[in-house]
Amino acid sequence: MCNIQEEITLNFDVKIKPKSKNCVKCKTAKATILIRHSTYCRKCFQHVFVGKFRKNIEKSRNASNSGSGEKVMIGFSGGPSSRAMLQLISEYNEVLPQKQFYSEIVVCHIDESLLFNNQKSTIPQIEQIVRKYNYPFIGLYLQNIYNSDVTKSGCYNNVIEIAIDDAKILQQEDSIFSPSEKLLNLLNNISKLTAKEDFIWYLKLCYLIDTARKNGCTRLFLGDCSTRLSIKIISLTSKGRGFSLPLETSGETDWFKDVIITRPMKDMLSKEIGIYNQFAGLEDIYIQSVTSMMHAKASIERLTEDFIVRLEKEFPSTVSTIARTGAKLTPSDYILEENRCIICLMPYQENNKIWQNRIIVMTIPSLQQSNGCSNIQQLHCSKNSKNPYDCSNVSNDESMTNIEFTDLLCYGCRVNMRDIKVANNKTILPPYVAEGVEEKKKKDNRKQMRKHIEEYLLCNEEEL
Amino acid sequence: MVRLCVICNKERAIVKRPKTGQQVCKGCFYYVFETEIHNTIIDSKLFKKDEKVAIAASGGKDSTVLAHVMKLLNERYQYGLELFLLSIDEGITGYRDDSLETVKRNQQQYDLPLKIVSYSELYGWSMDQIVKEVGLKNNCTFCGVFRRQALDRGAVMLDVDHIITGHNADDIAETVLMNILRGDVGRLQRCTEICTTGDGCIRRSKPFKYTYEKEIVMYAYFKKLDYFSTECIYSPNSYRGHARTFLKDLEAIRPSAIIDIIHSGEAFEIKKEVKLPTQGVCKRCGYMSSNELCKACVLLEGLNRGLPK
Repeated sequence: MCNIQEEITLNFDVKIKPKSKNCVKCKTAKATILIRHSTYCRKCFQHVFVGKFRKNIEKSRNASNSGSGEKVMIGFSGGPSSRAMLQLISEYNEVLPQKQFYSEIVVCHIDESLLFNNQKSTIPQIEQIVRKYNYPFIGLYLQNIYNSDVTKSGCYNNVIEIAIDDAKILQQEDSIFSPSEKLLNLLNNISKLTAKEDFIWYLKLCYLIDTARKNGCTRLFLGDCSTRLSIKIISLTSKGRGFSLPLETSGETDWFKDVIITRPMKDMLSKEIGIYNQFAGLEDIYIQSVTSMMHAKASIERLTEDFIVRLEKEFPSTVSTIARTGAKLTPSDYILEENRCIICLMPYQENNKIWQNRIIVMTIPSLQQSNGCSNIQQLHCSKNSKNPYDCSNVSNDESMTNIEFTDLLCYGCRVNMRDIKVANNKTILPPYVAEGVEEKKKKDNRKQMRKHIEEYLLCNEEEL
Repeated sequence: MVRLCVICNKERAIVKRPKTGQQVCKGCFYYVFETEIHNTIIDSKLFKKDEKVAIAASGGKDSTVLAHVMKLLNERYQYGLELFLLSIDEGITGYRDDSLETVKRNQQQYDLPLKIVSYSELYGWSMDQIVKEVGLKNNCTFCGVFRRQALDRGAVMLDVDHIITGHNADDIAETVLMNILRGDVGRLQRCTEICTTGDGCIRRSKPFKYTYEKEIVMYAYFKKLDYFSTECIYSPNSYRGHARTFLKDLEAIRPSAIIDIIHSGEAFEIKKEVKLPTQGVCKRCGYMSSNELCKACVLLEGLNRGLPK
């Protein structure tokens, strides 16, 4: 009995599938494109596609309220999505020649060819594409993240050297290692591809934001499409980055204050972008990653990509459902501006390290403390010992234990640090990280000083 | 060369801990395994003194180890709990009847009172009969919905208002992923809570929230605990299967991924403007429900009318 019924529903399903070959929008032209369950003709497809983009970009422009036109930067990898974005932004800005929405558009690309033996730089190819638009172009090399000017102050030349049980801040000496050597050493000392990929992404992001800031751009456009974002939602979750996930996948975020990040491609599937590029004759370039051509289990990012793309084939609403779920998440009310991870610059949760020590027990405490009560005592102890900034310890001391160092990291970066092997080649983190440590130290010092004199203060900090 | 345990540095290491990769001896493995569960219980203030608690026991590895560990921790740390075993007989020949035998043996070993409630006594339908009626397509929906209520009803019969289940870290991580894939934000927020409760209803907790499935098997193996390890004969659904495979692959790449996913899940916050279903009460049976009738009553009505779903 039930078998018969199932067959009926099956037939019914087939009937819903678009048999008619006409476009679902204009109803007249012959359909040539199938997106999820709908068929479109070429003209309507392009109209819908551009419309989605305009809607997103209008929304962000209205929210920011900048009437006179702002200076913006496009993060341009050269891949299909950012290629389409470049075209769409330029078209959008030329709708009304007398009133341009953006006063200036800068295109920025980061070359990663150093990571791949003997590969040619991607900059000449990218420059050729950008030249067609007549926009100023900034070509960067990832290794130059070690330059002293890629810092807030613009001339900070200390770096962090990671050793077995401490992390030292020292003066950077370019004569010993070139930036390329330092970057390669760092990445070679990361034993797992998951952590390596993570590191590379955040170094790039930090470099882009810094470059936007230095060039007076108040907005940075990133080309993440919905397929990419849904992969990111799952991979960030899997890497323990749920706390910062809403900031890292939303259509817009002001977490970096003076540089707003906007993702105008967030509602387009990678398939749609491919079709659009083909119709518009937009050429993209092949961008290699450290897991390109590798097995699906090479890294979490790579595995997630494989998982989502395969699932989407079987269940065509996978990507849009995940993206919608992600869009319903919001940054926590407990996000504090000062709790910013010094590596990825994303917010971290207070006390998550204590949580971790409780549910992952790595040692056995000495005999007298084996009940719940003394565990709490232990908690307090470790909390105290983790606070290296008591007032006797003023910032002259530039070496810190690894525990103190990892206190300044978010959960995800701390997981990554476990995969760093301290080898003969020195593991050196770039100046912006060292600058972050010193800034944090100074802030904590001031907090301590303030605590000392608190009872004599007659007004709060802002009024001083 | 004999490898020494990295924790005590005395005994010979015999396992690599799946959770941390540390090579440890048997004694230290037991210690960290039990202590992590104890910490979870203490930190989330799971129990009150003199509370009556029912352990949902299926005879499988998770609930067998749960019964063992709860009895042990209750004595070691003087929680002062009165423990019961509560089993559901779904009426699946060749599966549940065998596993219930294991539960009965556990009852003897741990000396805990046991209560068994059956689907046929509660709903007038056993799973075997349901499968005959609806086929193998949605049968897991029936089983899942009915079990939830059956446990609560069993708890009432035992005069207990707290049930603990053997859900482990893998199960919770998998549920986090599933809820993202399905777009169920209401459940996404709830699924990482260690203790859930409808108002006035029975509390339900997961002491194994941070315990790896592999370590549960390891613990049962070394302690030679008696458990039943056959998959249900009415196979699991495929979409969840994809998530499970993905999670196993993640764990192989990075063992901490399971804990990392739970950590992410705990940090998620839903936008205030997103409408979540409000919880009410079923008009027919009084069980908590987000609709007029609870899912169990809807399914049951369909069964009794002979129109599945």
